[in-house]
Amino acid sequence: MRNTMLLSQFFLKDLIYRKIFFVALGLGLSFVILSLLLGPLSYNEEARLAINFSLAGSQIALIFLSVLVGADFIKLDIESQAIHSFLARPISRFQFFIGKFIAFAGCLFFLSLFMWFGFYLVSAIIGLETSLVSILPFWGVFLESLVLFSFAMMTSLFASSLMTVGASFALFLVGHFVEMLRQLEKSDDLMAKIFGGLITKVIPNLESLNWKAHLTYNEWASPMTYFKFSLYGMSWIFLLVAVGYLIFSKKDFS
Amino acid sequence: MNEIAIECRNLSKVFKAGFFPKPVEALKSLTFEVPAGKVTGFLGPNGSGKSTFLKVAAEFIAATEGTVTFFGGKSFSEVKKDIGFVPEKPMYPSSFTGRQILDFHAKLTRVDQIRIEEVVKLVGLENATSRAFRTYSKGMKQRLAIAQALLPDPKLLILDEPLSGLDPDGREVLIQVIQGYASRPGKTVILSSHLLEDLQRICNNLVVIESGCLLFSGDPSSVFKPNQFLVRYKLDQKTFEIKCSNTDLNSKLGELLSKDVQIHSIEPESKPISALYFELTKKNLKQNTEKRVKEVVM
Repeated sequence: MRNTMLLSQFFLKDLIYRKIFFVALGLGLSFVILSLLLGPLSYNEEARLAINFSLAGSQIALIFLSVLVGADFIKLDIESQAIHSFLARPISRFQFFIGKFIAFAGCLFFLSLFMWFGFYLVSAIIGLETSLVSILPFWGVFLESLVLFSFAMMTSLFASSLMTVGASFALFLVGHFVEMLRQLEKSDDLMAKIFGGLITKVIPNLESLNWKAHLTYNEWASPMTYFKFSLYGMSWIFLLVAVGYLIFSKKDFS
Repeated sequence: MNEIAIECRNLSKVFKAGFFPKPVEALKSLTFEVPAGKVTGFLGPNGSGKSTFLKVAAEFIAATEGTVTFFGGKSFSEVKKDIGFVPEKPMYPSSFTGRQILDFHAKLTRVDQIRIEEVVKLVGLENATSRAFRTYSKGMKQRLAIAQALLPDPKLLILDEPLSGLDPDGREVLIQVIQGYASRPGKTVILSSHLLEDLQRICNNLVVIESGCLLFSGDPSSVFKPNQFLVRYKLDQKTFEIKCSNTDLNSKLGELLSKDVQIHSIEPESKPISALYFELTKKNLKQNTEKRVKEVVM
């Protein structure tokens, strides 16, 4: 555990030094500020438009960051042979893999928190009604980004960076339409039925982590609903990380 | 009985990559031992399997068949804390300073700050530890990698091609560091290289690999008995030297003694490792060259 934490601190510092952290934070906060400032330009729906745009902006910044970093995070270490310097030390493959994951999860968590704080602050400044509960959609975006990061990290172990990025964005798009694809299960066509049934089981329903509309329309679900969906997101993260580690543990680092 | 640092038994590695993989046999049933307390050189041309062997030994890649064990049957994972490994291309996060990298490795190996200062001084990086890793030259990167490998004062130091691509000054510094470490009792060094002269200076044990096959393993001097002698003699207050082979040494000495000369010394002339290397590999080199020439001409 000690070595895993040391590794995650080291890789978190690396992410900060690589300025990725600041680029994503700057991008996300600019989206938030711009959206909140653009809101008043719309007719009658200033608050909703501003909130919706700023949340979407934060989501895009975090998702891009997760996919792009995930596609190279471990792959670069393998290709540059930097991994040899770590694994020759008293560090297991498991500690290395989990250490890397925790480092990015920590980075993403702080980014989400800063973005929410920025959103909260700017909302208060321009006079939009908001409360501390507004952190929930950011928590949802954090979980969604982490699902995509875990997927990208796993895929990068056997596919090229370009394929990984493509597959991750495809997952993002399809993941938001899982509910619609589920309708295929009701189809009379056997193939469509099988496809609908399969896709809802092998692809995470990312829409269940999308709580932006709850804030936009100020219609909140019960705490249990958020807890259940959070657990759903975490289960997918756990599954993807576990599969990723299985591949990583068997991989040759030549 | 001498302790064995590494025991390699029937080790094979076959690489398969791509959708329709064509198997590449990188190591072919290697069996040999590396004695503890010696400096062992892994010699072989590029692509011979030296680095592959070290990577299999360090468990970076899995063996297809066979085993590599350390210090009496232990796996690499079990003895990691007693081993310092310097990879072929030392890479660390480029924005970190040398000091931050060493601090991190010191924490991992539970080593104190005094030891960091010692290894930094040993490799001569005192004035560079505050610089970012990306600004380091190749030689400095190698020295930093050796410093991090030496942090826990390991029993066994493994270096994968540490001298290739370095200028003469950089090579000299590294050779001195390696020799300094190896001179301490109980320390074992394994280094792979294709630089014959450097291996000649450092190594007292040799493993020669070509195309994944073991060509030679052991003390090079034991098989490489001198077949040439240097005879120094004095005649009319002047010193002369002649070289003679094993077979004509006696007749040459008789001839000199009959001329009433004073024999000053008879020294076996040691041949360089390169001679052994070319002797072991010449057939294969010749075959390969002929094959390549044929391919180009065709």
